[in-house]
Amino acid sequence: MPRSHTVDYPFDTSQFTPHQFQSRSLLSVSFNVMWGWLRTHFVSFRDGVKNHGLSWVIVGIDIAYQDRVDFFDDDGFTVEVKGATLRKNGTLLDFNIEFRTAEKQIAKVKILLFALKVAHLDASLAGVTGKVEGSLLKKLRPDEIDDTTPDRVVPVLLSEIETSGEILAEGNISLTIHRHLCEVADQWCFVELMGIVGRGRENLVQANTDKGDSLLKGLSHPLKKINAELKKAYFLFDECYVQTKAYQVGEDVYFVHNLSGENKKLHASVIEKF
Amino acid sequence: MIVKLSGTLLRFVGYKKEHIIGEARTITAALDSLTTTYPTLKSILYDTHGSVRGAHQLFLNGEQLLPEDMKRQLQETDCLEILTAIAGG
Repeated sequence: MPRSHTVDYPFDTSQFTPHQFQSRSLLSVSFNVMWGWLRTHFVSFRDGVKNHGLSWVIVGIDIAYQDRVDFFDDDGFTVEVKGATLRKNGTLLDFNIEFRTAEKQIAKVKILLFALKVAHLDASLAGVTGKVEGSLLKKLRPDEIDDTTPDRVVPVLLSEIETSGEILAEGNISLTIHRHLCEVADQWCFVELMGIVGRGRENLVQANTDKGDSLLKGLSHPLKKINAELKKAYFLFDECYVQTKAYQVGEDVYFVHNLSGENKKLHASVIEKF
Repeated sequence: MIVKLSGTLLRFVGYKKEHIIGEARTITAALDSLTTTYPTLKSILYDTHGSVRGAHQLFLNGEQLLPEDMKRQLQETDCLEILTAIAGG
């Protein structure tokens, strides 16, 4: 059975919207407990980079909200990394993380990381594609290694939405990546993706409040699911362009966000389900 | 010509994204000029053999360059872009 790692946290108001636990907070806490798991069972983030030239970038996120949980439900919550699995010949690592209070399930979070070989340990932390091998590979147990490639959720879901959905509205925003959105390498921090697409969605809803109740769900209802693929990093002072399209599919409303840069290349795709 | 930098490299060039290089006939000459102005950039950009590190990619007017392109002749209107593929963290 894969090894777990559990951490308790107090509730604070910054973790919540009026409707639920914030997706940005889910990712921020997930990022921390993932590194707790790695430090406990594998190698710490710092040790990995400094002594093994191994770092990670996040390439996939799946969030499934469970019970409706708000700030007044409890004094705190528990986060458990249910396990980590090395995938695709040591090049990917996926984490399954669960958030819960004493009484309720908050959310299930899956995060997929891509191994990076830090080619030269200078201040830039620049890297090339890497894999887990040698002595580090031996730190993982056989049931934590699976050489299959994880399924890609976003392209399949996007095709279903575009085929069967009715488009409700479309809009664009842009912003500059400043350091409050970045991590140590002056590269955008994936945690901030949720706030950026939330800004695109909220702008779209507020600009179309006369278009009926369906679109308004993007502000008035809790999120049910989020699926994201990250393809290319933004760096400090890069321009980020967010195109958002809202679709009605049956009873559900989806917001599809595509993030691109100055060269029009796709940096990330995010699908939010309400 | 213009040399553009972004990402992790900005901190080594005074956070300036665009640099106008006057007399540079080749890509090597343009990079030499830049690293003369910003000496700390040199060890970040080049490996110990003097080659551009694999983590950094060069584009001339949007076309990705290969190591053998370093002697390519430059025009006054050319734009050389240096991108860092990915950074850890």
